[in-house]
Amino acid sequence: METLTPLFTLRGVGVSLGGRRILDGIDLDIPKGRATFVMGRSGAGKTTLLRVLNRLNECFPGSETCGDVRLHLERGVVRPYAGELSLPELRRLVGMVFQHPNVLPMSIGKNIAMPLTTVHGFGRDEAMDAVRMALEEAQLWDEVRDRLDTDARTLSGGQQQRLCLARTLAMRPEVLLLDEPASSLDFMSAKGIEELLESLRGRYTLVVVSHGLEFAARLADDIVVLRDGRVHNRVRDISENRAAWLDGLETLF
Amino acid sequence: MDQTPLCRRNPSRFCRQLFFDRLVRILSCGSGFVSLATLAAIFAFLAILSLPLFTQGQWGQILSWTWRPYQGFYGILPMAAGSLALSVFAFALAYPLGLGVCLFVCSPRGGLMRRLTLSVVTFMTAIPTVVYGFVSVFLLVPLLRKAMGGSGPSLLAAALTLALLILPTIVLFLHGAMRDTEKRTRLTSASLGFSPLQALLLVVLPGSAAGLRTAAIMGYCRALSDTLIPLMLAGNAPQFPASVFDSVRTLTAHIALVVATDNSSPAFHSLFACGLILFGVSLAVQAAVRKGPSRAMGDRRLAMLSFLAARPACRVLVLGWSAVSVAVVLGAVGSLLAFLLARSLPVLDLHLFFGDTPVLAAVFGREPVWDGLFAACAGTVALVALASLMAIPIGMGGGIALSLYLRGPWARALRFSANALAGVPSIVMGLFGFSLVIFLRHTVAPEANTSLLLSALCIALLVLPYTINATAQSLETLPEELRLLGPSLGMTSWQSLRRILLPAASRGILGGVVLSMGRAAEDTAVILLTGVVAQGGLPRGLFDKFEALPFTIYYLAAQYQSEHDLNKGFGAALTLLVLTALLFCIARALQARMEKEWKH
Repeated sequence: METLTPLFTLRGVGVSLGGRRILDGIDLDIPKGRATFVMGRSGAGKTTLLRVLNRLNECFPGSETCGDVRLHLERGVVRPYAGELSLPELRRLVGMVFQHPNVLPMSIGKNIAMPLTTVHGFGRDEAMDAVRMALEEAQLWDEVRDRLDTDARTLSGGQQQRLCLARTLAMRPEVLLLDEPASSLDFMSAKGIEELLESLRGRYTLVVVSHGLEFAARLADDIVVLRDGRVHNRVRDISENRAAWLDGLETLF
Repeated sequence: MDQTPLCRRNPSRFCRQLFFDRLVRILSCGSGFVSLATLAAIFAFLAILSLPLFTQGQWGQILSWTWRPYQGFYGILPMAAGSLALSVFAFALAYPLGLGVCLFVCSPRGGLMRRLTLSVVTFMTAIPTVVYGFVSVFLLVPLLRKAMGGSGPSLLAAALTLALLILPTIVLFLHGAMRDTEKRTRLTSASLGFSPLQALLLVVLPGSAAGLRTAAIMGYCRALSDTLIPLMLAGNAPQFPASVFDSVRTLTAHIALVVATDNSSPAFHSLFACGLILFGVSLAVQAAVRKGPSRAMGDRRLAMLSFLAARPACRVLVLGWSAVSVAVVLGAVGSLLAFLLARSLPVLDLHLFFGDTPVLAAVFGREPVWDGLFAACAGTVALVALASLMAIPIGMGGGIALSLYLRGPWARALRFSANALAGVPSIVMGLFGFSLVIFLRHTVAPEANTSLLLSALCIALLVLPYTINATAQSLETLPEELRLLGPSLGMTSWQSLRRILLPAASRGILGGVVLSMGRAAEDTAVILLTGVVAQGGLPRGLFDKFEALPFTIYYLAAQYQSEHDLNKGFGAALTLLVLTALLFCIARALQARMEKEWKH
């Protein structure tokens, strides 16, 4: 078996929020260019684990993270928690899509262009090109090309979530964190998002929190099962025998 | 595809962003500590200046029931009793009324009437205290005199007016809390089969327990700390009130009345003792109520509410009360405005503003205006502009620091100081400014005197907490995912604030700015002690005395000598009202534009 280049390595990572221990002693490698699924029951710490990777837990008062997190970049290994990478820079490398589509109350185009002009200093034309590319990548371009100026909140739930994905993709991250991206959507929209993620697989490192076993069996390379803030089970390379895993996944919990 | 991280392509821009972010963080935290420092400074000045009372053993003299300064009796207890009686009385009148109005405003029925009531109550915040006082002197007091006899100015007259004054504070705080709870729980209550009134009583009210408490604190503090209403309407006799028709003097009015006397006698030092008492009480009220045991409503009160909601007769009672409250409030405000308009519109002309001076010459300051309101208008505008210039950036910075940057004990200290500062009576702030001048005279600047700059500074400090709290609260009520969005896109905290959070919270923040500018324009107690004069012409500089509309109104209400003076008073009252209403509208328009700009 070939050895995979890891993108993130976590050693002994623990997170507590307001004195409550959410994650404890997490050892984990997240390989580059592959889809890692984080699964587990509600309250197992999946979202918190995801937010360890872009240090988003720190937006909450009383959060503490311990342990060693390393990010392997082309320029070398950096430890985000040791101040070797600034917060904005880390979060630009590690894009995130939330559970509920959180479009900004502005036009569809602005939703993507505003972060680009703000963060990267894009000019107007450059931003419009990026908007188009991102929307095409998120398979939303054909639906919204004629109404980029309308309020993004007029889109359907599935479209909004694809817009959020496009907004994140436009920032050109290395890693995409997806926190149950399809769970608040109807069946058809969820299917659309899942198909979209399949198309992104291989181009980005994906870390996905999901409840859908079937979806995980179809898309995941690796699966991490959390229970009570610890790694309960771990499966690598399920892509080699997907059909078998579709039935076997339940036994992991 | 080019996978080079974009942030590495332009490192200098990135460094600039980080530097700017840090700068904003430092600035906002720094401005946050202004309120902390102010609170400490006020306490220090009051304590130091009332120190001679301790060292010379005059406490016994101060804590007595007799105030006869010329015979050496400096007791302030009658004033303390007066303050307590008036504030409790006014609060007891206003809180049930406010609750009634709020129940009406929050109930889903009566769309037009509901909106009208809410706009009237919101508009009431734009009516200056001194206008309430002025109209009451000429409308309420004669009515009371006719109905009850006596001399007119009394505890009752002051309490009635004061109740009307603090009502919008109570209603708006309540409404803010209840509207949020109502939105959150609307569908749940409906699906449980509650009627709208039951939902209001059983879900919305208990869910807004914290709001009920805040409204009560804010309302009571406003009643306790007001100076103008008791000064104009309570009669100011330094005695213990035996009935509601008696004349009383409050601590606040006492300070205003005595401050002009010489500054070495115990009478002078006793003022700072009064200030210290007011300061201590406002601090204690804040601390005590904020440290309430639980945030949720107690079982007993819940049981009472369900009792009310379950019985048709009680429901009628609740609905009836809310209708009565609305009628009382609308009636009172309506007659106040009608009376003011009826008296002031006929006399309003250019002569009232400019006297016999040619208008253009007066506006450009070439000729002084002796017999008109122009100088007072100019003084007030200058005062508000100066104070806003100081208070708004510092207040917003403090609010931002509070909600975004500060954590743990520092955040708690700042929050406490902002709340405590909001409760500091404006007369105490005036006394602080006054003692600042005394301090400067004895130290670095023997020439120091009360002036426009000092007034503006004190008023800025007075309205600072409104801006801080409004900013912090609006930012904190934004949904969590919106607050996380900026950081998750790699924005610095300043970028996230500027592009996402501030626009989303603009409504609330501008609400705070409206409140603070209105307060700055109408406040009389502060300027009374820090440099306003009745006849001074246009302010010639920051260190000059100035005229101001609210003071002119107050002065004319007591000192008018002719029909012309009285007309001038009414004209000034209307002018000030129009000015504050205008400020109100400008801020609203600004708010709408900002929102629009953000959307497209």
